[in-house]
Amino acid sequence: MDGLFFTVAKDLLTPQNMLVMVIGILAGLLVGALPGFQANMGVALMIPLTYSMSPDTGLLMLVSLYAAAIYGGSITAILFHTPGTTASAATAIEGFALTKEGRAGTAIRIATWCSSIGGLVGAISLLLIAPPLSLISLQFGPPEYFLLAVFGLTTIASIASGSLLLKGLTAGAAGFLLSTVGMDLDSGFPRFAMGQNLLDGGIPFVPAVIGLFAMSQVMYMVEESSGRLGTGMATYDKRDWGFFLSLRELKEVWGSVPRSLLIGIVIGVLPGAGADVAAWVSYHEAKRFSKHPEKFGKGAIDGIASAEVAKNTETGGAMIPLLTLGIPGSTTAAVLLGALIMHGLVPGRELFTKYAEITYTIIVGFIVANVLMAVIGMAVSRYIARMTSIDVGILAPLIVTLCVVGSFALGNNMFDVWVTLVFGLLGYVMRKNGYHPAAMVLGLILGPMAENGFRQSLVLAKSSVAEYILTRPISVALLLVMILTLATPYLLEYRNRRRGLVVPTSEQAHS
Amino acid sequence: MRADVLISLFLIASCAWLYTITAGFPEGAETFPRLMLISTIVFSAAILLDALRSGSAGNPSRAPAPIKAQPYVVFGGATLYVMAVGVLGFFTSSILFSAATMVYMGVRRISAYLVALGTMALFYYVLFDRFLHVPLPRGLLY
Repeated sequence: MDGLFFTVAKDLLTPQNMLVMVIGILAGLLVGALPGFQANMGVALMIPLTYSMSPDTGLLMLVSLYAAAIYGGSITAILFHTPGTTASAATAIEGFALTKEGRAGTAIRIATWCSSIGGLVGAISLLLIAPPLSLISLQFGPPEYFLLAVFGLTTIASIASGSLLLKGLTAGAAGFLLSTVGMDLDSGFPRFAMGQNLLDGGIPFVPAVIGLFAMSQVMYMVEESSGRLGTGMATYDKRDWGFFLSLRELKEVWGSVPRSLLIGIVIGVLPGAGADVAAWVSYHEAKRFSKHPEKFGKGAIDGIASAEVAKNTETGGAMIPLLTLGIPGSTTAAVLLGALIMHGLVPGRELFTKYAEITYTIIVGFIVANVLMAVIGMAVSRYIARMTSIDVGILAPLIVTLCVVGSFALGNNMFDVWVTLVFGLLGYVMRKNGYHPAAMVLGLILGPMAENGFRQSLVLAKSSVAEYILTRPISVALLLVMILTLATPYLLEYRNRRRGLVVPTSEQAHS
Repeated sequence: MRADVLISLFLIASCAWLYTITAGFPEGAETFPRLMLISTIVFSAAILLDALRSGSAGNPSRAPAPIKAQPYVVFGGATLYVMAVGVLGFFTSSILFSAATMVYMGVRRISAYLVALGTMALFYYVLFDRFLHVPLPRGLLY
């Protein structure tokens, strides 16, 4: 164990790894701060850059971006009342109220350090909970792997509710179907290749992910926005811009921190509920337990603290089922799953045994990234906020060229670029009509695992597959959890309606 | 509502056609795709029924939003750009595409063009060409 600790520390503290973490954090802050941009898009665009890196270095960059993007949304939420991500909507209420009083510095300081505390505890939970939880995967056989893939899909599909749930499931099934394009590994038969040799190798999922998230986002941005992304520059008192929390501020927010940490972890591990749900639930609980609920809506700093702690704790929580079972707790985690597979890492027990050095380097790096994020965030948040004044007319073509060069760089061929373009249009049409690109992405990534599990189950089952599955306790448990996952959004909606909460149901919510 | 009906019908028809293609697959290779095709058809049929039901109920809140041309124009431009990469080279076509899109999106300041295009070209050259050694396509000009 000591040997592993020193190896991880040695791997992590190389100048190269520290540099990629800083780059990831800066990129994440920018992605998070730009309204309309989500963490999943940032991770998708960054994947090609990690292709030539070692798995630990590449994934360190991506998890750093993930943590920083979730926090970065709060910068514009506080300064302009424009949440960079939907998870920062609760912060916008209290943060902007403080900005109007000339106390933007206080709001940014609270948001930054509370995000960092939340992220830190979430990452430590990941370190402590994931290794023992991964032992469960040793009990899995082909039917469980099939059900696990379907379960993963239902988690993403359950982001929406009502008729959108059906659309999520449709997109997921279409993703599974797209994963079957190309050479069948058992028979060597090219399925759905339509005589095109280029399709024999299947649909490359990274270019597809870039198209579905980044390219479609550009089209969305062009349609939705005119002029600048931000709504102007906030004014602030420079004397208010301190680096650390004061003792008085710490005392004011400390009461809500443990509760928010718990909410963040529980919601993070639960599939189908993301950072925005964690932030809102935590915010409302803070208001309920507050000694001064009348301050909420007028710049309550414990309101900012509770939302920020919970949403960043959720990022660590969402990675627990991702690394142990391959079930992403958010759309960004789904893209991270694709990155893991691209680097030859399959979620499960092997991540903590055979690939322990890489996995622990990533997890410990995630802990360090959450600390670095606070330091860098405090140093650059004012300048990052200025970036939101970039014109959409400038940003849109730059992102398109980044999509093109990124997808080309993966395999040095134009086929990947065309895949990005086609999936970009598909993603845009899907988003316009309420279908989830994230569900399709997950279908593409988990498709091979689902098909292998399904086909092997067919061989192993003597009579009926359904009968075979129902005789296996873990399979039955997975089926029950799947039903619960599909029902969760309805139950949450019902609960929130009863309590009078308003939780945003944007398709971008689960960044 | 209308879009839901059209998309569902398109998906059902496409899946039915793809199902006929699976008849030519070897034994075992057709099972999983068929399962997914049937799943997609069932989900699409449910969406179709839902859309038809809400349409016949005359729900005014689901009136179709007008389609804006801008995203499709930018996408068309991106398609031409990708086609041009092989002929003009990556750098030349990227600069041309970005400049044309900026003009279309109403960017007026010359300094914005100079800074954005210059930074972009330099960034791609340093990161992808020099640092990552990606053989970016060269064309007639560069």
